[in-house]
Parts: sequence; C-alpha cells; structure tokens
Amino acid sequence: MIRLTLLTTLLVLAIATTGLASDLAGQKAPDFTLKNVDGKNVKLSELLKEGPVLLDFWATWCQPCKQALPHLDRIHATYKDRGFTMLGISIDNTRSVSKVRPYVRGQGFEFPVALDTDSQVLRQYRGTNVPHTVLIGMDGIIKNVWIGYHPGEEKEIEQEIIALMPTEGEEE
Amino acid sequence: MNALRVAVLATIIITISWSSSVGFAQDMYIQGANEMRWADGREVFGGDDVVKRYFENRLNLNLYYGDIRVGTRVTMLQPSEFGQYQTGINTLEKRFLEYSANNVYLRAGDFYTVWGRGLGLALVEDILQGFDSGLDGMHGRISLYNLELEGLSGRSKAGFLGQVRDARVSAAQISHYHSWGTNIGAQVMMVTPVEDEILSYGENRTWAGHVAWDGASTSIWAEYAKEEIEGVDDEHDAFYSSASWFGGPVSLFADYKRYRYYKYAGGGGGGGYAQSVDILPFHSAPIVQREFTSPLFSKHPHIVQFDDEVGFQVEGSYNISGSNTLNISYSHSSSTIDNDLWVPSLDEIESPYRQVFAEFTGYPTYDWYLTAWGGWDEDLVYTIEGDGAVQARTSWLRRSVAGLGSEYQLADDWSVKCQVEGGLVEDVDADVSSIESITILGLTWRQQFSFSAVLETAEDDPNQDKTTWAKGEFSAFIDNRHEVLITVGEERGGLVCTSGKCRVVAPFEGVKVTLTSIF
Repeated sequence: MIRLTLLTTLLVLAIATTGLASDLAGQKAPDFTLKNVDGKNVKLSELLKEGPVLLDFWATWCQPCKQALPHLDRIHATYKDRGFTMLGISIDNTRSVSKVRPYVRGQGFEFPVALDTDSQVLRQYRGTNVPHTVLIGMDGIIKNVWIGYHPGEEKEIEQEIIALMPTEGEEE
Repeated sequence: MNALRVAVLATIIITISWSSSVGFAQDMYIQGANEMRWADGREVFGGDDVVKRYFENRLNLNLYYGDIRVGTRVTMLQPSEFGQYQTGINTLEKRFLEYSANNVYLRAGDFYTVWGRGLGLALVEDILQGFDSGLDGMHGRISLYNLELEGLSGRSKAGFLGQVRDARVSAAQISHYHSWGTNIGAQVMMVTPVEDEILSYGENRTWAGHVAWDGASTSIWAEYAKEEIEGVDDEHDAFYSSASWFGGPVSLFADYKRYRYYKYAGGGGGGGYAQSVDILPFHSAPIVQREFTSPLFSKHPHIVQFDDEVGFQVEGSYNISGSNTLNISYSHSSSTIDNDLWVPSLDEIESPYRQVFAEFTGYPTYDWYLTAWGGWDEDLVYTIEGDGAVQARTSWLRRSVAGLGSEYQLADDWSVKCQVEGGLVEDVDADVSSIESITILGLTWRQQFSFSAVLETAEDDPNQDKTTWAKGEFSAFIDNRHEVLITVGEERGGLVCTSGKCRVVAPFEGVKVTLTSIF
C-alpha cells in the first residue's frame, strides 16, 4: 500500500510536470553533429545559416517512413535553392545501417542523410518512434512536429516551409 | 529506501519543472516519455484458456543542461505482459548521469551500446521482447584525431524474460578512421559470472575485430569474434561480412554469416514464453535474413541458431521510375554441421532454410500509394541430440504468400487503406496444406484519428481450434503529445522474433490500451 501511494504521488508529479513543460514547438532546437552516409559531419546550426531545416527521422525497416520520403524529397528538391534543407536522419542501428546508403542512392533521393545509430538525437527531439518529423526555422526555434506519417500531411509541411522561407527582398 | 528514492526524484522533478517554467536557465530543459500498456482478456496458452491481465507503466525522464544529461526510468508492473516474475514498482529502475561534448563521452549508471555489428559486444534492450542486456556501471569514449578509444565496466541486471544471468562485464575498444574511407577496430570483452547465482555461466573472454571501407558507391564490412570460455576447449567464434553497391537506379546489398557461439545450458526462460537464445546475452549478431517482410510471412519466422549457422542474404533494388521501386531478396542458411561448412547446404540433415521475397512499392499517382509483394520459403529443422544418438526431423514447412496493399487519399483530410494477403502453408512431413489470410481495412483522418479492422484466417493452425480472428484498432492523438491506441477483439498470436530473439505470443481475446505521452 505504501509503495502504491508513493508511485501514485510520483505519477501525479510527472503528469503535473507535463503541464509545466512547454510543447516542443516554440522551443530552441537542440544542436547536434552527426555523420552523414558518406562519413562527413553534418551540423544542424550550420544548415540553419542557409535556411529552415526539416528533420525527418526514419529507418530502412519502417514502411510509413518509406511512404513519406518521396514526398519529402520532392519538397527538398523544390526549395533547396532557396536555402531550405530536408535532412533525413536514419535511426538504423549498427546492424542495419549498411542498408541506408544503397537504399537512399537507389531511390535517387537528393536530400542529405545523417546517421543516428543509437537514436540519441531522436530522443533529444522527444521522438519515441519513426517517422518523426520536425520543422525548424532559421532562428533555431522548432515550429512544428509531426508524429507518424499520414497521407496528405506533406501538403501541410510544405505550406509551413513556404511560410518560413525568406522573401526575395529579405534574401537580398 | 524506496521512500527516499521517490522523495529525491520528486524533488528533482519539481525543481526542474519550476526552473524551466520561469526560464531559470535557457540551456536547461526536461523531456520525458510515458507509456502505459493495459490489457484485460483471455489467452490460450498450453491448451488452457486463462485470464490475461497486465498493467505496465514506464516513465522516462531526462534533464538536459548543456553537455550534461541526467535520466531515470520509473516502472510500475502489476504485472508485466510476461507474467508475475516482473511485478511491482521500481522507482529508479534505470538512472544515469551523462556528459557528452565534441570528443568526449562519459556516462555513469545504466547504459547500452553496440560495438561494430554486435558480434563481440552488444548491450541492447527490447522491452516488447522482454530482453535486456544493459549494464549498470561506467561507459566512456574519447576521440583523438582519427582514433577512438572506448571502455566500459558494469554489472548486468536483467536477461531474457526473467532468465536473469547476473554477471560483471568489462570491455575496451579501439578504432581508427581514415580519410580514405577505411575503418579498423579491435575489442575485447570480459564476462565474469557473479557467484551465488542459480543461473550463471563460466568466465567468457571475447576478442573481436573489424575492417571496413566506404568508397564512392561501394561499402564493405567484415567482422570476426572469438570466444574463450572457462572449462571449454572447443572453438567458438562468429564471422560476419557485408557489401553494398549502387549505380544509377540499381542498388545491391549482400551479407554473410558463420556463427558458432557457445551455447549455454539452462536456457528456455520465461515459463515457456521464450525461444531462448541460449548464447551469451551480450552478443547480438546480424541475423542475415529479411526481418521485415509482410504480416503473414513474418508469422512463422526462421529461428536463427547462433551456435551453429552459416548463411547469406542478397538484396537488390531497382528504381523503375520516380518513387516506384522493385526490391528482391534471397536468403539461405543451414547448420555448419560439425563446423565443416562455409556455404549453406540444402541437405536435410543440415537444417536448411531458404527464402525469396519480392516487393514493389510506389506511387502510381500523387495521391495513391501502392505496394505488392510475394514470397516463398522453406524451413526444415533437423535435431541431433546426444552425440547423434537421437536424430529426427522436427519440422519441415514450405510457405508461399502474395499480397497487395494500397492507401488512397480521398480528400485533404481523409485517406483509406486496404491490405490483403493470402498464404499457403505446406507441412511436408504430414503432407498437409492449409490456407491463411489477413485483411486490413483502415480509415485515417489527418493526424488525429485512425481506425482499422483486421480479419485473419487460418484453416489449420495446429496450435488452436479457432480459424478466424477479428479485431478493431483505434488510435487518436489527443494533442501533439498524447496518443492512445485501443485494440478490441481477437489476436492470433504466434512466434515473434526481433534481431534473432524470439518469444511465443499466445492467442488473445479482449481489450488492450496503450497510452503514450511525450513532454
């Protein structure tokens, strides 16, 4: 009984904390450095100097992720010349990570892909599963988070990216 | 002691939440995730129809402050899905203090890591499989130019479905990266059983090394591990290699295994729920067969024999146009039979397993996602016990499947999903064939709601009398941080394997609720 009371107290505190801790959207995006599929470093803060960044956490074994990636690649191709980057972050662990590069190249995807083999960065962005998609503005603030993939979601993502893009006047 | 732990944790939570809410420190923030799983129903296990109820709650909390992270997990199991052996409240089941900067990583407390492809050291947790080979101790890594040094030491606290094998583990690794794309590494791991444990094993020292190369369009990996076990003279080792290549619309991947790990006695764990791995739980080598195929095909997975198996897998992918892709894989494995074989055999006595699987995925139109697949496999298990005194064919199954899946976007907010798969299961020994099927219909509204109905049939499932199972699944995002999944109806159950670790899931009838919260 004492244990149950203690646990109940703890859970109430935890739930209370969820009310106090603000939503991920609106918070500063944690910076990170990861290796890309070619072994080079990718640093979030460097990408943000060019424009907004869309992080898409995925894995080669994740079917909904594969369903979403062609749409996100199209968005990357459309807006990359205006500074936007769609960064695919594979959470394949060390045992399946060998499949990432052939999959990405075989599909002809143009977006850069980084490797988060121990899911550390995914956890920093409060992800518990994939796909987990996070849109970050040039100011380093998280604008929105999408959990899972639902058909048609890419249109909403694209609209939010357009809203974040600097206008031509601002670019000059 | 428990009260003290709760008090400390409560103080931390209150302090953190207060400080973050008033902007005490810009770099300090708390993140957490809570998962509650509850079920009430009946299951058929061992021929008996029994009440099945479980309540699991796992609360993970992490505090970030600059390069420092503090984390803990609070667990309540009343009981766990796996039964009474996991019951009760563990206020600090996992806890750690971590420091991570550019070139240095240090962690005290509970930790997990996989070195190389996991042939030598792999500390992993799989909650749904009831597997935990994590350690409680110290873990550190430092990078100097192209050199990386890593060391760890700790005590294991868990095992496979309650089959706790308490041990002290120490390991070190050195690896070198070169701008040419090469990577070489060597590691050693020492496992010492803790005395006075009922289930323990002899002292084990594992040596492992790998070489790898990443070129412009080619990647190669090779890894070897060798076990030295107290009181065992036989050779026990493991070899794994993989290669990949891509050019234009074509990509190829192939990997190879030859595993001869030492098999410990006393496995079987979890009161009959588990297909015990039986090798040292701190190894977790790649299975070298396709793990994610289709709903029906994955119902009867091949159980990898890590103590005696040789095999390979080849996978090719062809991008037909745009996002339309054809993927074909073939895998073949068998026993090494007295350690002589380097290529898998097809002879019955060597327990051959073969599988071919082809899958098309793509978007015929912008709003229409289509996937189609087909596969065939053959799994023959031949058992030799007691120096060949008892030899018998345990099972010989051939299976064929074909399926079609489609998801169509009706309007901006709605989409419908349909998936149909049929399969033929042939028991060659008994000269009996049966048909099974699965049909899934789903409806999704934006990110908020989805509903799906699942109907599964099997003409002749030897494990139960039923031939039809139907259930409904409803999931909803209460907001962007809380998701609820409710399942009502019947589940067929079966053997479920992840990374070569398998457990038997009993047929279930009732209600399951999962509530996931992130904050």
